[in-house]
Amino acid sequence: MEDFLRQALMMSGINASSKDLQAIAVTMMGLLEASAPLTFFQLTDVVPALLFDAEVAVA
Amino acid sequence: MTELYYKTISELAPMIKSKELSPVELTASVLARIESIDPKLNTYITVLGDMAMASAKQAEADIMAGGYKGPLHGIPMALKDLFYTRGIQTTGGSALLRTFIPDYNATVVNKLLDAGVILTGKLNMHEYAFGATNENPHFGDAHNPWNTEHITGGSSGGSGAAVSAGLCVASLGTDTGGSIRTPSALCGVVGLKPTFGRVSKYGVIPLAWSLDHVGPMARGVEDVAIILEVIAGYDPKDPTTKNKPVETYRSQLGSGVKGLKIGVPSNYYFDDVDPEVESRVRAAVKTLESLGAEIIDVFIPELSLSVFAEMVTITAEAAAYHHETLVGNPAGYGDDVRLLLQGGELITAVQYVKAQRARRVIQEGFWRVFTQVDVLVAPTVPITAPRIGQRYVNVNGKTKDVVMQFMVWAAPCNLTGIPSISVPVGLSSDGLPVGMQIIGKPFAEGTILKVAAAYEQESSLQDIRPIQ
Repeated sequence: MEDFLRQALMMSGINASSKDLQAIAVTMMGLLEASAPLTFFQLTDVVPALLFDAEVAVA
Repeated sequence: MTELYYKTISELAPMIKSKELSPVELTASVLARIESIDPKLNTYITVLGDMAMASAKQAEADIMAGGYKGPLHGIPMALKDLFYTRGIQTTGGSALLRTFIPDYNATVVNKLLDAGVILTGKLNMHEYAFGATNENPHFGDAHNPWNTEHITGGSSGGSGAAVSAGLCVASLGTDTGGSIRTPSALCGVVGLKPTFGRVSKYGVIPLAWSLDHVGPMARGVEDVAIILEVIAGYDPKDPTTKNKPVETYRSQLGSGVKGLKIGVPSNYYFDDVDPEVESRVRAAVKTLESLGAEIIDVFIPELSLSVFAEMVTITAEAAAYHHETLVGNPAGYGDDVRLLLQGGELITAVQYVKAQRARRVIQEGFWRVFTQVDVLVAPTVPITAPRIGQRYVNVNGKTKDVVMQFMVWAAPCNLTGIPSISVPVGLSSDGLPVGMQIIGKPFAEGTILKVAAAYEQESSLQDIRPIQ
């Protein structure tokens, strides 16, 4: 995984150290874990808007 | 008798207005407090002693000449060091901006100065506001005044500690994932994250544009209301602000909670909370019930999307802001911030869009509950302040990452933009503050301030002081 992350960051012009890559890999695994609830909610079923507004009206 | 530097705005303003107290005497008291206590707390990055005294003398002259401006006239305040201040170093808590001197003021800074505030200095913060501990490798860690071996929380940690210890009367912070509410809870002060669009962010160093909020931190609920009345409102320089009238929040504070419906979430906010934190918050809920509020259990399953949505949005937006510097000078960042920014570079467009859709789903969850209740209450953070350098805490037998503990409880209100205020509700057995957040509907700051004020009236915590 760290090799993949290194190459992905290189494409953005970032040369991360091995130590940084190990820590980033842990964060990415945490993000994967945090994405589990996505399967329980229909994200495509809400209003057709991407712009953020705190004062939304809900039908 | 309360020392001058520990008095609140609501106590000081009538004294200044009636000319019983000079802003010069008050400012000198605060500056002396900074000199004596700040070496232990490290809350200030820049102290503006001479400038503050000159401003105080001008305020005194104006007031003596009949030019009293209002309740902030002559009040010493300090600002988190990411608000642009014309001609004054503004570091963002970063070595990269150590010599940066803006040539204009943030909109909120102009509003405070126009109201007569005396600026005593710029306050320590987590580097670029991207962290929740206020451990800062460039300017030193901020220390919690209740126990200096413990963190202040962040990223507005200098603000939380300085307000708590009497090193300024009040402050402004910013909140992208709890950065006003977390240090307010850990340092025992009141902190308000207003609705997204209520307060201008023009001239504020961003962390994540769609999550950032500016708000007041003070030693009392009325003080927070006073400051909000001054800083809130539409700003043509910030297109995210709403052109809605600013309420007179103070006039609503005394109306009590009788008949108000208060929701207590049965999921998420009370999952894995330190037992002492939970007991203090449950006791505060009982107090609100005894004052006539109706307590209703609510369930918001959509909150489980919050961690994903917050992690993706904050890291991706921050990486976009910092990209060029991260490529050109990665060593200029502290280790923790550099890692977060590098992680943000790896967020995919699909993840970012899904996170924005998740925000809408969470909003709908809150909106459904707000058809049943007026406000929600929950712990601000699930733990008390950990020790400086501590990375993990044990909560109910489970090992938890400190930073995630702060972010998880705060994120839903950043993601949805709804207002939330943290108020102190007691001390743990080891003498560290516990905070409760009161969450409201969009632009219902008046309602959450009213609930906070009702609780505060019944609490004796404001008489307890931290470091002497």
